[in-house]
Amino acid sequence: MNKAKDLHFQISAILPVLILFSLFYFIPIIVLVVTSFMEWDKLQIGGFAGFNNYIHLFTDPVDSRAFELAIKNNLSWTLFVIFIHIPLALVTALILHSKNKGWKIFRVLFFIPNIISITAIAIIFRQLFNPSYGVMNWLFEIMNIESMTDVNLLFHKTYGWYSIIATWILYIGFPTVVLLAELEAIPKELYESAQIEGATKGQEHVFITLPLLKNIIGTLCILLVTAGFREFERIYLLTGGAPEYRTGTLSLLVYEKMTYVQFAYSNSVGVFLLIIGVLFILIFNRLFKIGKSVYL
Amino acid sequence: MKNVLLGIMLFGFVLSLYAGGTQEADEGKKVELRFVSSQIGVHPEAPWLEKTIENFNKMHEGTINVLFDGVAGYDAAWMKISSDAATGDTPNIFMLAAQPKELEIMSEADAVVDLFPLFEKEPEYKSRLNDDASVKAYTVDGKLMGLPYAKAYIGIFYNKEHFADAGISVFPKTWTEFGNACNKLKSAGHTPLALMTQPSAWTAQLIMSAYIGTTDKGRSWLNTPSGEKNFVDQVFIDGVTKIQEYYFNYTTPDAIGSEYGVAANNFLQGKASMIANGPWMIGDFSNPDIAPEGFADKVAYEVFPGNVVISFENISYAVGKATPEEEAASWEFIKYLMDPSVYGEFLTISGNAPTFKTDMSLIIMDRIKEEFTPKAVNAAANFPHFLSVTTQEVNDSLEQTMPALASGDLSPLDFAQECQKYME
Repeated sequence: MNKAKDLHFQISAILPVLILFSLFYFIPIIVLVVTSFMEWDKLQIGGFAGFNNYIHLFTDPVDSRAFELAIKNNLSWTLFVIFIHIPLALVTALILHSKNKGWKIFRVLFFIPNIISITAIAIIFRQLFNPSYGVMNWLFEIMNIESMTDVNLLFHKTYGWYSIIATWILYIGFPTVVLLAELEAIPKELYESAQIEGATKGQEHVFITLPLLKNIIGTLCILLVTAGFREFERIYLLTGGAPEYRTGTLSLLVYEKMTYVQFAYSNSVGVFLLIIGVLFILIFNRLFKIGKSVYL
Repeated sequence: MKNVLLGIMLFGFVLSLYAGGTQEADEGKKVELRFVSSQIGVHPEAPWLEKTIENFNKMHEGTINVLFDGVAGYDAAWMKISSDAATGDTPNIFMLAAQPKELEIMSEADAVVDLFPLFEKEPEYKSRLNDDASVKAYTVDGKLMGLPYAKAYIGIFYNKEHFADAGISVFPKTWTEFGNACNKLKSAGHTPLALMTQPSAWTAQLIMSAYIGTTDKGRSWLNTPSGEKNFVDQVFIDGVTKIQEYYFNYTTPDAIGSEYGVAANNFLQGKASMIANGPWMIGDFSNPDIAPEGFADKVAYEVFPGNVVISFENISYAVGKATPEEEAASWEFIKYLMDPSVYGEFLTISGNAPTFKTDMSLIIMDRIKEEFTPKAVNAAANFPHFLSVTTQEVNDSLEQTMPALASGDLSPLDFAQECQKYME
């Protein structure tokens, strides 16, 4: 009887959250998926279109190019997160964890870019890359790289995307702080035991630190990769996807299709984004076995 | 205890559902209208619009209240208007450009009130609609989609001091002379043109349009309906080739990737000698926040080489479909916008030309506009600019293709072919 009452209470307690979640997330996602299979001509929703909207994304001479480049860019963003951004944060967290003099100041300094608005950062980087007076142009001049002076790297057909990557890759404040907090939670006794057994610092990191950070690293991969897929503001303000969609992403394509009043196509891209995001969450969950202890 | 807690939580949830609720206007009492426009913030017409709405609301206190829903930037404003219309919540009054796709979208969605029948009922207002070209620009399938409110003649501003430095005493009359003038300006240490590529290459496409429109064939191409244009026509390719040449040789290094603000700043700070733009820029020349003191005295405004000028329908104000009371109230606001003193103030601030009869003595023209207007009116030809005669897809594609053209990654032919693909 008490169990039934408890269950009743629990369900009732989360019911408001469930209702709100349904209203603002679940139902819109259903609408998104359903309308991606509909004909939607300008402001009028038409009949069932089957997979035509998706086929359009792969076959239209203009949209397929933008779509393909967007997927490539999103995937490359993912690789940068996994192989550079997070490892950089991990190394920084390990250094800060050794609590050398001034480590608290550096912890704050590393985090400052994360509290500056993306709009401000984008505007600052637009100036940095300005070929008339930007720092990049000055650097190329003093290094005597004439072919790159007076070139706006953000709009370069080869270096444009990497220039955009450069505007966030070193902003490791958030993952560093998270990893640092997790490092603080690792029992010191484990390291003491390892030292007694004759383990080197490197062995301590490989056999103790990294396995115990597995869950948080996996979680960071999920958070940062999915954030990367949602990234819009930075790219919109820096290049808008130019030149020729070489710096475009799926979220930018969703926006572009909406400005063309092509809501069916934008919803199709949105569904793709959803599927890719869910896929990566499942992959990282599997890979890192998030939630499972290493030593049990 | 648990039941008490549960009751409190549920009560709080139900209460929160009522948060932010609005009271509906009682029948016969105040009608609230939502007005969406991009004339907000630093937009030069923002103070005029704010004052106009305030005065209108005072005049109709208790019966009509216009709520301004400003969105910075016309593209963003159009996004909001079209999204609202898609959900059946078209704004009561909104600005509408003479873009074929936008007019078509609003017409097909039947989201806008046809103003012709309203004008028919009020002969005093109907008699003032005398600009056939403007009315035609906003007419779709026999429906007047918006009150044509402003049109502009566009030429090219130039820095007289730079021209004097370069030994140029007369503004070029042909495109060959124009090229020579650019070379002279370069030799004198000045960058000739303030160009840009993002998001629609505004100043650059004006020069390109002017070059194309210098010939009859070019004007005929510009006037072809947007969905029927052949971009692989040599007359268009020639225009693209010319603007690419200007990007390569006669503009600032930061033209590629820059937006209007950068191009305008280059001209205002004397880093570029010429900028193609509309008369609304005139106010900037004496704005102490953005131009050096005395800069306005250094500027002159000319028609393009070939004695041609660009004319374009700038904006209209449309009435969204709503309840009969709201539509009637919106029509009252539209009529108020036609008031000669309101309109005169708008035309003075914006520098635009009138699109319906009004009291011209209420329009104060500055020196630059006074010198330019007779030249524009008497130009050998006037025609629309590129962005106003192509589809929205082509317009938006310039954000992607113009930087590539300007850097040489796209040839003029490739650029033309890209435009064709976007149109199709």
